[in-house]
Amino acid sequence: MKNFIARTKRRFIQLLTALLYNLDFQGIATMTVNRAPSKAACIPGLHCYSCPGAVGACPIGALQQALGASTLKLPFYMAGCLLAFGALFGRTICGWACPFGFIQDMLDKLGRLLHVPQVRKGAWSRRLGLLKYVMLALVIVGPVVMLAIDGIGSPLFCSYVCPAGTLAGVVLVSATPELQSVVGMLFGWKTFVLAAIVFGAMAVYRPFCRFLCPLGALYGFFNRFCALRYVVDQNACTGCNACVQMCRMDVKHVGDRECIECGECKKACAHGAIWFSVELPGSKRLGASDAPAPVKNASSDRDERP
Amino acid sequence: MRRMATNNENRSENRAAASPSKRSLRVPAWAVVLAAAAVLIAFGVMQGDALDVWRKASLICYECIGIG
Repeated sequence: MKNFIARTKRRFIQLLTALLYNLDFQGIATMTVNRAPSKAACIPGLHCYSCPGAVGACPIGALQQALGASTLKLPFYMAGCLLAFGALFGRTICGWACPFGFIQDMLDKLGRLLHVPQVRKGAWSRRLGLLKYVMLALVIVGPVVMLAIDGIGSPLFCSYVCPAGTLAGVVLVSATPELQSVVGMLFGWKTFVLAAIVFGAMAVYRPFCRFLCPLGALYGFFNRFCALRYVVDQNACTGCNACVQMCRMDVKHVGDRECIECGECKKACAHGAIWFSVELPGSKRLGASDAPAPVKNASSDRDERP
Repeated sequence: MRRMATNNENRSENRAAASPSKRSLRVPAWAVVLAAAAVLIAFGVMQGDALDVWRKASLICYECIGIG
């Protein structure tokens, strides 16, 4: 029972957050967009605010709208929300509280169940991972450039890439005859992108998070110092690299920009060197920076540890 | 004389290291960023950003769903 809880804890929290983001069951039943005051608040994960059940605003969508607004105000509120989420959680949000990440995890499970050949990570995936920083630049610069060109600050990432928006679009279009009459080439393109990600996620682990997600790219910058994260006890670490080898993200070490803090490495570490850490003001975190350098291949040290 | 001064400095450093009040002053980087974020959020709410977010989020975003 204890093992079952440990194994399913992340899945349970992912499911719970997906439900919390979509609490408007009436909206889901009537296929209407929620207009509650809670829509002024941003949720930490990637989730389209046009989804009929959504009770909060997507941080990427809201940031793009704010940057492309003709009022030319600096988006302090959005920047503050993103900084707050990043400072507290970093990419823990990707691993535990992003509905689209959860969908990709489920698709990965389905792919394994259907015996879809799995593509392993490598130099190719690390290089492709740089694309998400291009997407982040597109999110920040795109609306401003579009505003300067044609006077309409079009949210380029949402318009041409975002699969969460397309998912909401597919649901809305299939249920609304008025929308069916206005779909065009753009909807076809976005559906193609969504389909590529859905089928890709059965063979490649979390392709959207690794290669395209601007929110993950942004939160990754906070991974080094955010409040909640996995840290390595350098006194216990033997440098065997089992954690990096078993990780399905493109990490070079635990807790780097690619790490989604899923905690799979903790299970793989035979020496108990990986900890989930919460740092409070005034307390000292158990972490790499406070401890001496790792002892490589120190079998005697390994034997002495309980 | 110089040695005495060095000893006194060392003693005061040791006292500072041992004192819990000194240790409790350590502020992690995330707390500084969080404080900055709180200021930005407050400023943004005052200039009406939250209302702008609500206005956009409470309607169907045609660009987001792929209708343009």
